Amino acid sequence: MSIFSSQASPSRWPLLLAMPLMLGLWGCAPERPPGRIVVGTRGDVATIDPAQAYQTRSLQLISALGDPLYERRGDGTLVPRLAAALPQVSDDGLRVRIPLRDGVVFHDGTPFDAEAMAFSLRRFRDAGGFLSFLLDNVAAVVVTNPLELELKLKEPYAPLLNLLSFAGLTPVSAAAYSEDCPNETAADDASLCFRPDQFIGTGPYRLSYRNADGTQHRLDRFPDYWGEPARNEGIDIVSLDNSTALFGALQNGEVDVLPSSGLEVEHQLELSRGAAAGDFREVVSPPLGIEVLAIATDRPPLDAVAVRRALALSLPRNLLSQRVSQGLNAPLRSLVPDQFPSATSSWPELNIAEAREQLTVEGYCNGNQLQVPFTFRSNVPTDQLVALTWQEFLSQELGDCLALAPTGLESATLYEQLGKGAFSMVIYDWSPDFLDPENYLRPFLGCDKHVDGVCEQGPAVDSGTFWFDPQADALLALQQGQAPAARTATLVDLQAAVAEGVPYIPLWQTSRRVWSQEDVRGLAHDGSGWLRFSALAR
Amino acid sequence: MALRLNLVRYVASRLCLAPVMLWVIASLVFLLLRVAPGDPIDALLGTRATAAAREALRIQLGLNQPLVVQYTTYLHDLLTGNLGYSLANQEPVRAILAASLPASLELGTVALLLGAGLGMVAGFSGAARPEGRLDLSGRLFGIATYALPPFWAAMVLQLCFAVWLHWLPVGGRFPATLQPPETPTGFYVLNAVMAGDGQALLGTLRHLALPASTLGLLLSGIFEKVLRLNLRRAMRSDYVEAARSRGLSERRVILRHALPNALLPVLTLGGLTVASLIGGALLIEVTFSWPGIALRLQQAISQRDYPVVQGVVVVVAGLVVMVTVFVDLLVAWIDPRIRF
Repeated sequence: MSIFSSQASPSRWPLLLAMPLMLGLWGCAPERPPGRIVVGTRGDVATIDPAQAYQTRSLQLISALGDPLYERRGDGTLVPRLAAALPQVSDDGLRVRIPLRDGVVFHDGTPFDAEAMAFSLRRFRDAGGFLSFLLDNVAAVVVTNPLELELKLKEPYAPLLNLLSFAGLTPVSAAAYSEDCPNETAADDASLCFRPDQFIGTGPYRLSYRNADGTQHRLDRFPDYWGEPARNEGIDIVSLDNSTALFGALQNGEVDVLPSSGLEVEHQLELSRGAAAGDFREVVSPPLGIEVLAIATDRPPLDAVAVRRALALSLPRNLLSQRVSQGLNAPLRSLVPDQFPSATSSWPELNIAEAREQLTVEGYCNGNQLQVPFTFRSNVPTDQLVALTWQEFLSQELGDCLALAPTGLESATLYEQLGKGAFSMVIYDWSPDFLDPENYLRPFLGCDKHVDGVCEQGPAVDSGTFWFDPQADALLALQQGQAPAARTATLVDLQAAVAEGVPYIPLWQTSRRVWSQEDVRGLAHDGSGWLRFSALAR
Repeated sequence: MALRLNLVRYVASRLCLAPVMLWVIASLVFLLLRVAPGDPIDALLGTRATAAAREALRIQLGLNQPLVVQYTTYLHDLLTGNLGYSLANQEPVRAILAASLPASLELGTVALLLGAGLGMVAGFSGAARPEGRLDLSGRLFGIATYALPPFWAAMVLQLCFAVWLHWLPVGGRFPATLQPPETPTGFYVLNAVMAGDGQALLGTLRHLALPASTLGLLLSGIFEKVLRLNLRRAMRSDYVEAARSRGLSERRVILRHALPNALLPVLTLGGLTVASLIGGALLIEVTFSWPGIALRLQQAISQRDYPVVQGVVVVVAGLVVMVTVFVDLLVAWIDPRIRF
């Protein structure tokens, strides 16, 4: 019963059609301009408005399109970028004069001056952005002459100089804003809306294209850049939505440079192995982020310092670093990462015997096992592995005294309930917006209102510990107005006080990594941890 | 005359029910999002901001209003065609839909054409030569593609064709080094053709090839099974026997008599598939980083971005209702046996 006996079988038609099509698509890949570099990132760039940006990928992009007033070097010192010199701070610490660089132009050719800088600083503070609170302490931004600004502060603020190196404080020309706001809530006090596809900054690149969903950006070298010109003709940034795709894109040469942000540990490890074997280049930034365990100190049984200390003594950091992060994240016994002079080793090392002793004093062990609920972010695989590994470690080493009861919660739900005291012990990470040692302490320790030694309002509540200690609070306030050397000593003392109270247990510190194809040169991070696009060359 | 009247009644009832259905869906989405644990402010800010900044953002976004006020504002905005603004980046939801819906539709259309074509060829070959080698192969193909886990299949194909062979890109919708032609349709293939831009067309097709083939392959199994089953049933029917007894060639019997009847369920299946693909194929979009509506919806849910979730669900539900009504009417128009 053959129907098409004299013809080719119809089942072969699609194959016959598909083969030349596939081969055609394969053979006709668009040529890549040799002077341009393709950088892969995970997820879309929600906004490039400096006043609204808070995601790492947004700020990374802004760092290439604009310049901050100062640049933080790897050794922690500041060098002027758009500023002409280091700022002059008044004796009372309340006025900061910043001379500005002459001869700088925006991407649209208009000159950069003090008015433009003041406009961007005021907009950052007043436009209701997610990070606008960073400038809460700035009472006024005054233009003293066309190339000089004065910041009037409400109180002395030691981190200010480091804050001025923050990528979000880059100036953007007023021409990048529109009075025709589509959304009335977006404008707020600043009364101008950012045009999502425009960025008129002063940086080494200008934005030539951004697609509607923020997954593709094209940066071209800015020919009138005041500083050293970019070593490549431009950067093409492509966003993919999963770690596997990004990993594959670097492997097949589709992207030239791949930062670690958003990559799974397994993929990072594989790329590091590839770099060791000479397949890729790899660069690691100084440690920027920390992962901590936060303990609710306002209720039994974890209101007992000895119990919290026992937890700190029983945390196998080295084991977790090796087993969970495969050595990518270095163990940390300080809240401040070790790139800062104020980093300490105040938290105790693993000591099971002492942990047992502390628990015994509190009436545990010998048949009375303490069960500690431990909450982790279920959408962060390493958090779950930390919880399970530590749980198993405790069951082997301290099983008669202490047991963990891990529970996973999606991060959005976890963050919502963190400040409501829902968790006895919880793990999360922290990466500050700008690099200053205080930025690793105040977000955990600040307290605006406290009653009977329990914080009722402020960062200590938001971070889930409710911990208040008069000595720590005094030291936190003291360092605000101190000179650098004295401030470092104060911050060390402060961490020692926190380690005594154990509201937090630092686990490890994290660095940004970046990999590139072998033929890409100039792979480096700046002192703030941003990848230097302008140094990349093939 | 009575048939036409019944058809008009049927159409009218479906069209009248559509707004009610959309209102119920819109209200359910609104309520479920608020009942679900997680606060958009915390999802947006994490542990970064102070309580004051959180409260300021809550007021700015109108989330401090009573639920009733939020609901009435939401319904009012919906009726006036205002879908609101994303909480994450203040982008109009309409713009988000305009960017991501065509991406899903483009992927879905090409995948559907590939899947239906492949499935129907396999199903037709099997039914035309029952129990032969082709039939057996077609049935195995149908079962295998129907049973394949989409996520796994997508990753394997990605690994083979993109990572190992370097034939096609691993993901995305357009080459990073090119700029998509700026024409208003939102469909890159169409845009590239309209702009006469060969590079853009090639780039789009290269990026479309892998996700569309994967999705098409996964869809083809069900088409193969439905066509084969219905064609074999039709081949055993009295009218086919009658056609054979009139001396018509087997080819003519199948193509002119059996196949048109066997294609009716395929049409219904196609309609249902289109309806499901309007909402995107999440696993394919995630694996291939295809910036479609499902991927956007998933991101919005994880960020508790209420306006985006609400806008996407309502618009997709509206489109699905329209497509199902259209397919019902099309089947009724084609098949005179259908009564209302």
